[in-house]
Amino acid sequence: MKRLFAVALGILTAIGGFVDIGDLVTNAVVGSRFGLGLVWVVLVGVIGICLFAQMSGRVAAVSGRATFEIIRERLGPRAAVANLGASFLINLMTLTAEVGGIALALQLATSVEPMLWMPLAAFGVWIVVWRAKFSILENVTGLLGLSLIVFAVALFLLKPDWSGLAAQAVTPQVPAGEESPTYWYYAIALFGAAMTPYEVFFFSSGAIEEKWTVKDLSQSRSNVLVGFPLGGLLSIAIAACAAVVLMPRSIDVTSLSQVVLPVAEAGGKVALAFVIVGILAATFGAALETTLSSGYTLAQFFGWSWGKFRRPVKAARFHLTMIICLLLGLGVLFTGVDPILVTEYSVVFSAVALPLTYLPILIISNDPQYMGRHVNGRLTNGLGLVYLGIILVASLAAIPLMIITGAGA
Amino acid sequence: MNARAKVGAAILAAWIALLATGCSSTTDTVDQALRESSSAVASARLALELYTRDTATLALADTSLGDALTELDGAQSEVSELEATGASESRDKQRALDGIRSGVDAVGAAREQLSNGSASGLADAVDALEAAQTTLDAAGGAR
Repeated sequence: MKRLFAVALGILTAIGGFVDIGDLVTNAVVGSRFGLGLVWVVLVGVIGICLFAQMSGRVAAVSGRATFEIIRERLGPRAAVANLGASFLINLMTLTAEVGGIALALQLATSVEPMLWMPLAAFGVWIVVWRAKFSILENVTGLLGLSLIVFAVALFLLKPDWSGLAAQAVTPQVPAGEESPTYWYYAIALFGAAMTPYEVFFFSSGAIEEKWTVKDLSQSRSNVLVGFPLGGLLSIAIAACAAVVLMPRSIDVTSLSQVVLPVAEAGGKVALAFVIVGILAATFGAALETTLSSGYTLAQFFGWSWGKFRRPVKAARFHLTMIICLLLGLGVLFTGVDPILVTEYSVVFSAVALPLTYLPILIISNDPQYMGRHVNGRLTNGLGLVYLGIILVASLAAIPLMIITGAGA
Repeated sequence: MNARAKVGAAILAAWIALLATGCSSTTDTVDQALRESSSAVASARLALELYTRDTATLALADTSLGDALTELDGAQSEVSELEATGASESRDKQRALDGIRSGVDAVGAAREQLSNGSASGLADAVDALEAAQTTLDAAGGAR
């Protein structure tokens, strides 16, 4: 019974924790401009993140060490620096976007300027990272993030033309008024949002925090293979709400307030309360994860003592890194840059950095020295290679498409 | 020139070509600004309609109108900074600026009505937003 509860909790937190500011904004932007014409990208992205997250969780559970520690040991410092540089910078950008997202969610609830909420949001993230237990911070934000299911409820309440939506999803087309390069630019952004590198590093380091062993592999698999796809359905619901309410009114999403308008239209103030709680939990949870990931990546690379399971005094550099990263993110936000813009760029740059993040994971999860008999099977390796191809194409095309389309304008 | 230098030059040329493709013309900028403005006004209108139907909170309506104003201000700055060459471009620029200004006025007035809270004033504000959107769409369509 206890085991079943743990599995259910793991799946629920995986669903609630799947969506972050990048998913919220990118899916709403795409839904308002392309309808469900890019749903296929969410599917491709979800399969990809499932593939690499379960690989990375397996590496941690079997070897008892987090991915970054092994990457440096197995691939040498030069390859590890490339991996670290790409992952760390994207993570910092994502952290900035998430802290900005918390402030924007609080603005939706209070109409107080986000700039005033930002220091409080960063302080809140720091104090939780400093004081709260790993399992509590992960479970509470994940479960509260389930409030975002209100997007799926809202979609039903809106009584859309289901056959029309299905047609958009099944036979994707570039709508009139949009151009092919813009369509592909947003396809890459959506892919980057679904496969954000920090999710994999957090998952792997979290496995060490929670002391997973080979016995926990089935739970790890169910968290990923059930939780993430259901989280992906939430992403599709966000895009569908935007497609039903915003697209016919020619509203292109550029702010978080626009993302929630379809929910208010469908379910009134009660639904609005749920969606604001959900966004707050999703962004706060992701801010915690990205803050921790910044500490994990650096500490694991340099061989510092790390982890929430250690008292802060025993992992001082790990905690100091997180404080510095939070302050850097806050500094960027204080320049007055729009957090939504930071989000849009962070998902595209995520796509650029993907090969540097995922290739080492594929190599390590095939190394019998670390994995013993738990190396990847043929199917996983086949899919892994296909995904490396997709990731490489997305990575190479991202910047040229960003320039050609004026960042999707 | 050795092979490595040739590859470097080819990459540089490709980037320059890309940048040249990515640079937008006056027409593109005006079209884009009008589209963004129309979207911002439509969004403000939807938020206000939801508030008058009591399905949205004051905080959401106020935030939405504030976001719409920020968007319109950005579009206005973009178009104002354009250097029009020739009479036709000047006319387009002026028409776009007039349209955007009507949007700024309508959203600003709607925000005032929101803080006053009079039902009839809000209904008028929704009508004014609709008119501003029509003006913006016409300015876009007239091009």
